[in-house]
Amino acid sequence: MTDQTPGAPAPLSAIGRHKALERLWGTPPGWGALSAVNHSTVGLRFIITSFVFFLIGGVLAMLIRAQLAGPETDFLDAAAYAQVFTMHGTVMMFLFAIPAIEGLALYMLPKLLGARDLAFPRLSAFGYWCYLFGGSILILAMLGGVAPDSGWFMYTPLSSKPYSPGINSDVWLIGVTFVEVSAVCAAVEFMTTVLKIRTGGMALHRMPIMVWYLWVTAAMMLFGFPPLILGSVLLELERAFDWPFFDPTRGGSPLLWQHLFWLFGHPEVYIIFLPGAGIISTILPVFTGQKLVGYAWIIVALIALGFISFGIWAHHMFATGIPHLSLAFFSAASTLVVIPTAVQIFAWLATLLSGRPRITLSMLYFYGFLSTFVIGGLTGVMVAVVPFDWQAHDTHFIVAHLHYVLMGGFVFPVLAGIYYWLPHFTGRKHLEGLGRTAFALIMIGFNAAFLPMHLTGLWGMPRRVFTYGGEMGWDLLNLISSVSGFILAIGFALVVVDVVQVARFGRRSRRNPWGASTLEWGMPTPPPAYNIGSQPHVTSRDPLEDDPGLPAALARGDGYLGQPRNGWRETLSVHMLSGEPDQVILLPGPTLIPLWTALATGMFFVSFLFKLYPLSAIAFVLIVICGWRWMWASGLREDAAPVDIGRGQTAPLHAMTADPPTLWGMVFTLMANGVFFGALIFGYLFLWVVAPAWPPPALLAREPVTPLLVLAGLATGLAAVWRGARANGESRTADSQTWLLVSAAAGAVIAGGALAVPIFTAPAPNSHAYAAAVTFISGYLAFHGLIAAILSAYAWARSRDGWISPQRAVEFSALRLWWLYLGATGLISLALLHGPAWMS
Amino acid sequence: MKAPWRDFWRLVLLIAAFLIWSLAFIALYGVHGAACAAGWANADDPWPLRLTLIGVWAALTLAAAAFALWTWRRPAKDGFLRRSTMAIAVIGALSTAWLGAPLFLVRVCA
Repeated sequence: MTDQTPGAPAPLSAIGRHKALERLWGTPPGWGALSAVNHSTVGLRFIITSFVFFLIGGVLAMLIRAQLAGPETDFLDAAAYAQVFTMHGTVMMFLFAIPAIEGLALYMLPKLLGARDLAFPRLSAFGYWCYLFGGSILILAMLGGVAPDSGWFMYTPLSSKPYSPGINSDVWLIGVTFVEVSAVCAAVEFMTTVLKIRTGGMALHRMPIMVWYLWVTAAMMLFGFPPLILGSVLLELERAFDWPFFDPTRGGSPLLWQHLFWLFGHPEVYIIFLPGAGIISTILPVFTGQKLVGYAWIIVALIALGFISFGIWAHHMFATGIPHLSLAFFSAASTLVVIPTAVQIFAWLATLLSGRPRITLSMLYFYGFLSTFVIGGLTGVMVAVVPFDWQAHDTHFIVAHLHYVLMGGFVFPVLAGIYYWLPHFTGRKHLEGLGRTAFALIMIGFNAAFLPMHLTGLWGMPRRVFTYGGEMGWDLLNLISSVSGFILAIGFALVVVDVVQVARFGRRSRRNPWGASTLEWGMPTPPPAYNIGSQPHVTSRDPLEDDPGLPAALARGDGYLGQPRNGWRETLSVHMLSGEPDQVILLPGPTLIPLWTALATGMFFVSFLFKLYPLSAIAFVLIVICGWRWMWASGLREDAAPVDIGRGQTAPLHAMTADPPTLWGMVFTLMANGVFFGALIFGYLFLWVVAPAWPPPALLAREPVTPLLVLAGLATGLAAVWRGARANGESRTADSQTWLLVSAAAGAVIAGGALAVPIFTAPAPNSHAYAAAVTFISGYLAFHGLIAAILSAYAWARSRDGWISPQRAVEFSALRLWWLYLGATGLISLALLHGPAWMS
Repeated sequence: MKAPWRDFWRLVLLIAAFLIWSLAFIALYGVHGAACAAGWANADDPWPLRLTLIGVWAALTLAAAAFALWTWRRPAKDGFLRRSTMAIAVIGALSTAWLGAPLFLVRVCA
């Protein structure tokens, strides 16, 4: 990053400003495109890649329907069918739905917020590469005939080694976990961005409703994905090293997998639905000419929905033998979730009724969404009632229900959004003829394919069977579903043709063709790399309605940060509640470091898949090296005075403040980490309380050395980091660096002490789930001790090189958070590890 | 507490009622599952466990209600945030109360 002293730049014309900003924010051509970090570029890559995966998932769906079109069909054998339906679900859920949301948010969030980019552009790029590589692992495996075949939720024991001996299940666990890394990165990115990277004046109550939806979605991703990552890691450890977390003969439990999976899996439904609902809440006011009714109530409903959706995970497990009262708790939560959903639906209806709706293609998809999602919601209430669920469980009724929810709650709103923002993405006008034909085919095809499935299911047809006998009476309904499925596919193919022809051949569209009032329409279309010439000061949720001349004024540079300077990529950061500007963020430019880091991460996962563990260790070292270089490039080497931000105001550069985005990034990363750790504690206690073959035959050896070593490391490390921060604040740089070295050594001691447990005192991890859990917890603690040591050493090196001063001390803020987290989880880990041995 | 953290905690207050709801959910499910697995309740005398669960539920519902009351009595600062916090607090308290309904309807460890 350049560290020139900011000067007074010469005023620029609108064209001059455009050229200067485009040079600063653009992505290099040719191979340089691999270094892109710009949110529009990365967002579009996400969206296009997700739709490629959607088409692959659609082809797989056609294979399923071809197989089930008639009884006793031998188009696919049972093994191939298992791979096809597993991959269909996996591709649609993990490679299409979530990444499409991430792509939309990456592309749209800064534009809605009136910002120039997200908080961590390199993290966006890293997330994209992880997604692409992880998804490619799954698709390549499918082409090689070794695709996962245990269902998209990979239930144990079917997915365990004895019953799935090939690498099929490993492919799922490795590939999906790789993609989940991308999702967690996106969640941290979005949480921080909405918290801090908005334009001036954008207080919480002035944020566009879509931003609230994406913020709640990001929070749910942050808390929803770690349990599945934990489950995937545990299952892969069981498959690779025979650590019996899910083997009931050795203290494990298959139900633990179901709990961890659905702790993610049910919120996942809402993670998919909420952005779709956000699109609806965005387009409805535009096409009805009426402000959204109940803005504040929708936000309240969203927050309620975000929480309650986590209390529903076991409603996928009503048939597993959980005691009735526990089922009733989940049933109560399942019925509760209807209320915040209904609040949104009634708000939409009220908006519709109080406005004058225009029938555009987006609105057609809105009507399609409303009818389809309400049907899916009602059948959802039916299966939330335990006795009914026992009748319909694992039948095609559930297949119908989930498709009504996902197509209705996600695909239709996304199609509405595509047609709404198509002029924004392409800068071209859309003619609706072909799109309306596609809509008709999609609606007819979808309902004729899935409505009969309710009946097929109630007549007893189970899910995931590759064929059925003609005597069952399911053939006519299946034939209707299959034929209609192909009509649906033709409809989607027409949408693709329609979008491509608009992008290639459409006539130029004027800016803001719908007369919308949100900021993404206040920029040229398609948007330039920097979004807007200057950032506005907003005083309401409808800035373009308040001032129709705002886009021209921003292009003239009348807003914030209208004068490019020093080669800096600048965007405004605000006070998280009031939205008043409080710092200027200097963002990094194009770099290959996210790609290298993702390649190293890919090397780690692929080497693990093929059991090349020395290579995995090398990959880990490479990841650390990449991470070090990544972080090193940020910051300032000299203190800087506040800079002019326009409108007669000044603000400090982010490196000079107490709460730069890095700090909040660390907060949210640790939250996700905490959920992972919480799920680990839950799993350990669940096995201890519920699984058979407990108590374990042997506990840890009772010895004081390793726990005291870890305790000493924790106390020393925490004290050293605090003393170091204080010394830095008092300009005692040498003392501060000494304390950092002490904390690095303390981290190493913690790692050593934790690793000593499985090496010297624990039973063999493959002997019992207890031993496996103890080894895993020790590994978790050792890993975090190691990271603490690396972070402390990094801060020491930064201090030596002049990147840290009493005013520039974010390294200390982040380090203190990490050590606090390590202190808390370290104490809990010690209690879990050594408590049972000392109490026995 | 420094300003950024103070503001962050005001955002946490926005969702605090549902944090209590989450705690109630985990406590009820956890205590019930552990007690049933340990064979603490039996068909002859299910009341000790039922009363324990009712106690857990009542305590957390009261906590949620007390929080809701506190948000109503708090001096106003930010209109939107305050009103939203109040609304979520009331809804969170009602949701916590709703969670306990099965305690009076369903057999304990069947």
